[in-house]
Amino acid sequence: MQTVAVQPVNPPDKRPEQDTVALALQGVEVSYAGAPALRGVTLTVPRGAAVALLGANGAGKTTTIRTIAGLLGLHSARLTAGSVTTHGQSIERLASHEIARLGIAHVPEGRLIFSGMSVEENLRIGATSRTTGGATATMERVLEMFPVLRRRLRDAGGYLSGGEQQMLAISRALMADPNVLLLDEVSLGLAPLITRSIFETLAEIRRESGTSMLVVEQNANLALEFCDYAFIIESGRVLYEGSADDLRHDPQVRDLYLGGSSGESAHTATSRRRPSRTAGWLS
Amino acid sequence: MAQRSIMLTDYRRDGGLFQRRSSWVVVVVAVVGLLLVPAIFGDRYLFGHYFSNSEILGFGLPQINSALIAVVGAIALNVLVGFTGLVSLGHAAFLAVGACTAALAGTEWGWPLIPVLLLAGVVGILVGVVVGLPSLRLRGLYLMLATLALHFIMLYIFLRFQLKFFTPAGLPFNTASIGSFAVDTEKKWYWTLIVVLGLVLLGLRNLMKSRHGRSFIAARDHDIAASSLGMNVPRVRLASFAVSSFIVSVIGALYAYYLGHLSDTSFSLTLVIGYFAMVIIGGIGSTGGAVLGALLWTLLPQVLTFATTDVDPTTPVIGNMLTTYQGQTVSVVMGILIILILRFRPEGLISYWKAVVHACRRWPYSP
Repeated sequence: MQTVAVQPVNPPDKRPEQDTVALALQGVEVSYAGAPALRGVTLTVPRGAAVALLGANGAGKTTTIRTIAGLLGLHSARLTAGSVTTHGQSIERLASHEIARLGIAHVPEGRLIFSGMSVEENLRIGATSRTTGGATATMERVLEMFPVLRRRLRDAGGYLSGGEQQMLAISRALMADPNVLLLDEVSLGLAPLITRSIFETLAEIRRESGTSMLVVEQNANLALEFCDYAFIIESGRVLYEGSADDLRHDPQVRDLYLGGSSGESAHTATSRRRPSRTAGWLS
Repeated sequence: MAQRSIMLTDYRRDGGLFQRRSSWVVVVVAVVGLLLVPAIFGDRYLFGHYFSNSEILGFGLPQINSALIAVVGAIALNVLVGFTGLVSLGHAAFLAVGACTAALAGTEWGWPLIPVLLLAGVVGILVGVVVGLPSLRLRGLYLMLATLALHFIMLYIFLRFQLKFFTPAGLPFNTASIGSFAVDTEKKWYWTLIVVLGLVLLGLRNLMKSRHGRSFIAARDHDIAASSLGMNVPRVRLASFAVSSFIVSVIGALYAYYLGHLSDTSFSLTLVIGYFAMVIIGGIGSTGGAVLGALLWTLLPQVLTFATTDVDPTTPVIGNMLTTYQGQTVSVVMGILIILILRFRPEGLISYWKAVVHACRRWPYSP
């Protein structure tokens, strides 16, 4: 494994204190049938914060989300080392439905809407893991934030457009009244304007309810705009971490992950060695 | 899109048993229809004339009763295959479980009918949950093979049971009776089966409108999303096996009582495939479809046989074929019909019904 010439933007001792941590991964290693996907990922999501998880295709972003949501078994993957905790409670050995009941809601990649059920039924299913009352009030609030869903409440989920389905997937997750929201590739296949409006609504939700969010996103610019803090992973390891502002202004990060800075061509050793890794997913 | 002419304005109406006034019309028509069935297909003195089975559509109450049993069986299979997406070939085995329990509790211990049926259902649930265990690891064709093994194991147990307690000829069953009401005529069986069917339909309708019913469908469509939304997917699958095998075992016990005599040869793989055909022709994932599919699958051959019986052998082209190979010809025609249905309505027979309902609801805005 090659060493990376760049120092972490924020040294690890600046990490938030444990009692304010909504979600923490410590040295997590995961492999798919022997093939390692995560090689020691350590990251934290402070309570109420939005944290971005960035990286190229195959870097291990979705695997990280699956690890947190307890879905490794369904993808024939295995956690080989490390720990996952939410609000101090260890969850790496729990089944996914138990993790959901602890307040971790997952907006899966590809949305996974129940296409034969109506929008309302999809929302009601989201309330399955709710441990508190007030599902009807939450539904009302969610429909206020995504008015397009109210208009289509009786339509089958499969008849919605991609953007509407994504809104439904987010609303379905919100129905559980979660502490932590895992957002996997929200922008996948959506028009930029719709993605932006969804992120604006997510920001509103965060202001209102203080839900912590872990955002996996291909559109790094948008993610850094929305989030306070970001981790960049590469080949199953955290390569950089730092506040969104710092990362946005870091010349190397800009060059590698944010589509380059105008007029500069200061490619790093990393990018020259692995041009294919960084070329395809710049927004 | 045209505006719908009937709009529901509150949740109470939407969730109600009868959503529209027209629902009552459907119910009244259905009840009158059910009342008329024994009169038309029972002892047929219509307008003073006697008609035999072969003179009206080719079937009578005995065939209708068998069809009703098949209807309940198909509904139960649809819970597993249609709603939860678990392909199980163990259907005949669950019928056998019900029959076994009925023979032991009814014939051997002399229990009355209702406790026998309940016991059959409970035993069915137990076996169903055990059989459902592979479904936690296996999906699709692999689960199908695992349940195929169950089929043969269950039939082996059935045969040993039959030889140990009864004769090689099979299991005898008492006349079914509820209290002093002996279910001994076709007409009484008809009403008993209608009541059972009504209970199953009402129960399933409520189940599928509830959180638990929705979790069946969620586990079928996206098990990953379902489990990350807080559903215990393994438990949902086992629950589905339990519901399905409960219904099948109860109807298996009733089937045994109805026939009065059963042997291990009554539960073949062909029977299982027939049930799959009913569910698929009717429209997979729909209770109404299972009902229609089962009625078509069991009654259409009778009608076709009836329609082709009195053909003159000298009729060109089909005459000789029908008189010599009537059974085979009926099967071929049935097969062609099914292919046509599935070609033009892959969603099954229920889609015809849905199209009619849709047209009525939108009336007069669009055809």
